[in-house]
Amino acid sequence: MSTLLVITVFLPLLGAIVLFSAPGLDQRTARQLALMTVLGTLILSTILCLGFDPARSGPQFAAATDPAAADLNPATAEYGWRWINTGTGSGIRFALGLDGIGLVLFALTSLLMVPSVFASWESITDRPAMHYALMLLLQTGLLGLFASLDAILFYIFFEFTLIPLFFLIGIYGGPERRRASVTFFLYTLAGSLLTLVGVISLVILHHQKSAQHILTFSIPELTAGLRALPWSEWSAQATTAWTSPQALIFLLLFAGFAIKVPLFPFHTWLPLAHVEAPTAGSILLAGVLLKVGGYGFLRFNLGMTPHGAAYFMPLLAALSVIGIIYGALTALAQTDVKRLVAYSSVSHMGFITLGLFTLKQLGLEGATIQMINHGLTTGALFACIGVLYERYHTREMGQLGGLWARLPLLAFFLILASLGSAAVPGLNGFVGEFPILLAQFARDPFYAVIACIGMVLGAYYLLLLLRRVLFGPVHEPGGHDHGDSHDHAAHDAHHHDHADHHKVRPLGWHEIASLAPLMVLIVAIGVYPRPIFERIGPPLREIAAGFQVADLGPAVADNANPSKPSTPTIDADAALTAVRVPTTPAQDFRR
Amino acid sequence: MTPDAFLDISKQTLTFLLPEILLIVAASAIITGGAFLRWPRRTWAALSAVALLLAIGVLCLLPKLTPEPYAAVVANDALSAYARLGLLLAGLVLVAFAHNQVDDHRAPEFFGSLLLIHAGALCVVSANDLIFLFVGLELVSMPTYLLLYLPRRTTTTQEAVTKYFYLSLFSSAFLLFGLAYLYGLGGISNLKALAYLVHWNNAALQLPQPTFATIALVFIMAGLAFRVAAVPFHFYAPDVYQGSSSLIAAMLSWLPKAIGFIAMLRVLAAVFAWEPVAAEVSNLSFVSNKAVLLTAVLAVVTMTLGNTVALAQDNLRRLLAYSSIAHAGYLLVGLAAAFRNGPGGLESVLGADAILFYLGSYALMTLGAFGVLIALDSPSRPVEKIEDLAGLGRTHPWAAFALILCLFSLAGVPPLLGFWGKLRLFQSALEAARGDDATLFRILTIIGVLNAAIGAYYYLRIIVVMIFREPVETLTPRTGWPTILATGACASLSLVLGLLSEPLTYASRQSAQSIIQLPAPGAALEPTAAVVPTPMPTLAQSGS
Repeated sequence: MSTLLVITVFLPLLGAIVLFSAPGLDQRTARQLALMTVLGTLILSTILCLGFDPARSGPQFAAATDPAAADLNPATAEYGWRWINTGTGSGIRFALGLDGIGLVLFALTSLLMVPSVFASWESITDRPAMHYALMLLLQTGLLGLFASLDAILFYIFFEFTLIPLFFLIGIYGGPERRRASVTFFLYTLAGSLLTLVGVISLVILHHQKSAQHILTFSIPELTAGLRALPWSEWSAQATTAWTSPQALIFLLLFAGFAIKVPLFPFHTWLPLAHVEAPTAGSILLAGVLLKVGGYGFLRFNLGMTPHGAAYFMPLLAALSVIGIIYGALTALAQTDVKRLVAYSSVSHMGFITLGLFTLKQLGLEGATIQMINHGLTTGALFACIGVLYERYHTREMGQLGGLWARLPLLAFFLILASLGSAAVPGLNGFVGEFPILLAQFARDPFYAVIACIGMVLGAYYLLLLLRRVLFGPVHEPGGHDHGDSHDHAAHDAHHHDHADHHKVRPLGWHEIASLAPLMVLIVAIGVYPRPIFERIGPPLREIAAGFQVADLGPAVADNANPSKPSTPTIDADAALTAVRVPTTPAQDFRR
Repeated sequence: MTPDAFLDISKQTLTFLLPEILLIVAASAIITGGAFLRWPRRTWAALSAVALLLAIGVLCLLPKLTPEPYAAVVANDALSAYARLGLLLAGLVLVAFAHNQVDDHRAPEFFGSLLLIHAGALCVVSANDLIFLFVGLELVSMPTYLLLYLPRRTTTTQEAVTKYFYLSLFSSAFLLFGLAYLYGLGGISNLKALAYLVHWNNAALQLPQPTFATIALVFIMAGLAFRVAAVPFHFYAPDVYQGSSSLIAAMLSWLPKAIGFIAMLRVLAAVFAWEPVAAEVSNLSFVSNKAVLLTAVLAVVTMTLGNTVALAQDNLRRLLAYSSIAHAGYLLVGLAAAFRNGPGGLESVLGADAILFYLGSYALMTLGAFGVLIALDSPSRPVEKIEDLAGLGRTHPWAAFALILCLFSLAGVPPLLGFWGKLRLFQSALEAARGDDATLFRILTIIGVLNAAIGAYYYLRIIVVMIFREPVETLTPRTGWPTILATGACASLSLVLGLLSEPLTYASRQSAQSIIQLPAPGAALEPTAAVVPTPMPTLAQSGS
């Protein structure tokens, strides 16, 4: 299975190389080749998902040098193959493996590639081979990132994803594409370089301060090893909590991931990049690339620097909440559909970070599943907008209306995706946002209440979008047959021409094929999320254990002190856990 | 020292210097022959390439030599082996670039000077003696003046060359002054012996004159800062790069930087390196702290100035000149760390290791980038401004691809070689962050990465123009196969070595360790041997 994982990660790269080496390929061949690669990767990922054992903690499908020892103690085992000799220690390794968190995001990436390819099916006519090659390159980067067990390997994939997306936006994007691609690249690069410093600091700290002076870049080993260091003593020596080493390293790591997520004051690159990106780029950007930030928070910020996380928790929760409200309000003010969805991403990612920074297992679980949900719903929304744009060449809500009559199937997809995004119970968004709010309510009801307002606003702008675009009298831009000037169209369209007779192309098979699976999952996760909770549970429990083991001060004391009577934490947590996963009673009482 | 030992050392040294001697002989022959023979430039280029190849062959076939490290003027260690090989290979690349760039009637002088420069560079990297090092550096400088004067196309060129000439003389004077003080420290010009005295005395006698050492440090840094184009001795670089051809700019951006940093490592870092152990305060730690501070300040100023000024440039060569200044700044970060890597340390990446690795990667990426510019340039349609590259992705996709690889590598984007270089530099700085000035190193690293982000902008600007803009006027390159081959090799190696960096990692680590190592003195060195009967204790032991 470990070979299969490596093949899955590099299959898209192979496709990309083939497409790159034949730049003159025509649109038909290029897209079919891309589709085959993507479907092949999806099949392999499905096999991996089926072969995954949810009961085991620690990375799976990892080529451990000593499998027996790896079973016994998955944290300190040596995985993969040595890539670069570092003098001492096991070196920088080419180590791939998946635990529950990695697995679900890995599967999400493989899945969302299909709508991305279909979204470019008709729209990309200029240099198609290059377009699909860049997309496949991006996929390799993302798959590798979620499967990396080595900190440097993770970072390489993390940065590498910038290059294909930079070219995707810059070559195939909208009118402002040059500025958008450069802003996106530089903003993300600046943050991720600081993250690199944070990662190296952790590695060096572990090397210099651990008992055996082990130089390791392995993420599981670092996580376990760093936890054993005497942080409390160092923090006690520091003059203020700010200068304690974990707080500083936390901030360095935070820089890159916060920009990637993006957390509130660092979000400015996102709307620009989203609006200018081609549809496929938007789907991947919102669907998967933003999750990289959340994934990094989980793996590095929360996993390796729990003290720092606990120290900054109030600030980060506040930023998340501001992001939720700010994103929602800005989305309300938008007239461009794509821009609206882009700002809604800021709001929804605020929920995810809010869940992460509750520093409770419940919140982490909610945040992780919400990453999947946001990927599915926002991916679907962007795909729908792509369909609209291909037909009307506008994304202005003022120029669209009553499209239910024209494109009933699209209307169905759009409504379902919006409702899923607005966290209607029974659909997937609810499964993610409810635990987040529950955990946050136990932590600090104030932020939870504000976040709830964000949820209401979320429903408001999404329904507003539906009302304007789908319902009411039919209202289309002047039509593609006479001219491409949208201004004219806007003026003409004032008389609600019910008798508009120019035909709009109905949804093609490829558009249905790209959206239908997402719809199935939006409903399926909403009704039966247990398989995902089962898989993300064990690794998240380990991360959450980091907060319980350490003495984190008064802010999070109630986490380690379940007998506190005044908070509703215990009841809510236990109740939801009982509903969600029928765990053993022992596990419940341990909380 | 007995006459026998002396004879042995001389023999070994001369054998060791065979590649240099061969290059000098070839250069003299080419320059002399050029006065009588009217051959086309291709022939002279081929002759120089043959000379370089022969030198590589001789270098690889040298017998195992062990010139006494505490007496010989050359050091036969890993650094001299790998650095000489690297310089000769880069020399081949430069000859390939030059094969159709110089005028026919100036070709012999040009190629002769190029070979002499390389002979001098080889001397510098293998020098184990202050005087030999200085001679090597001058052997680089003198032919460089000639090389710069040869085209003398316009008055701006002449102004640039004059600037270079006077600044170069100035810096040589600084360097010599500093070397004299260094000599005065121990009354000995052998570098290994000097390092040994300094480190040994650290425990027993103390470094005799920390003030002298500081003066030496400052002046040697000043002299060598000119070579590597570090602030405040960087003023010549933009003018000279812009005023001369891309070919000369390629040579100047790589070779002086390489020998400058290797000279800094050999003369300063190896002598004044100090491992911060257990709050030990000594004269050595005093000098070492001064060195770290000086280097850190230079590094911050150099990279910040280089990167920010490069943002505003439109001329490609001028932009690459500021980029080369910025890279000198990154390398100085590694030098600051190298002053903290004394014998007996725990570091996994030494500062010297990082510098040597970065120099190797820098050679590939900067020579590759200039190679593309040289390949695209033609008298009828010169490549001067960024806008001249508009639409290159459509008109010359392979050239664009090569340039993108080199530029992303310069920007330090993984998985290219430049990323590993930056990773190692910053890792070495963070590993050196112990003891009192830990914060200094941390701030230095953070400023370094922020600079890398700023730097990415102007590389990206070139890529944006190349790929996202439509072609304005087609380029009419007149390229020969050697240029294409050399550029392709540089660009593809930036990628391949980025994926498989083990060879470069190995070479740089071996070289870095060979600088620090102080072998037990042999019988040939009686005075020290008399003073030091036992093997030298490591600093870790002496500190406790």
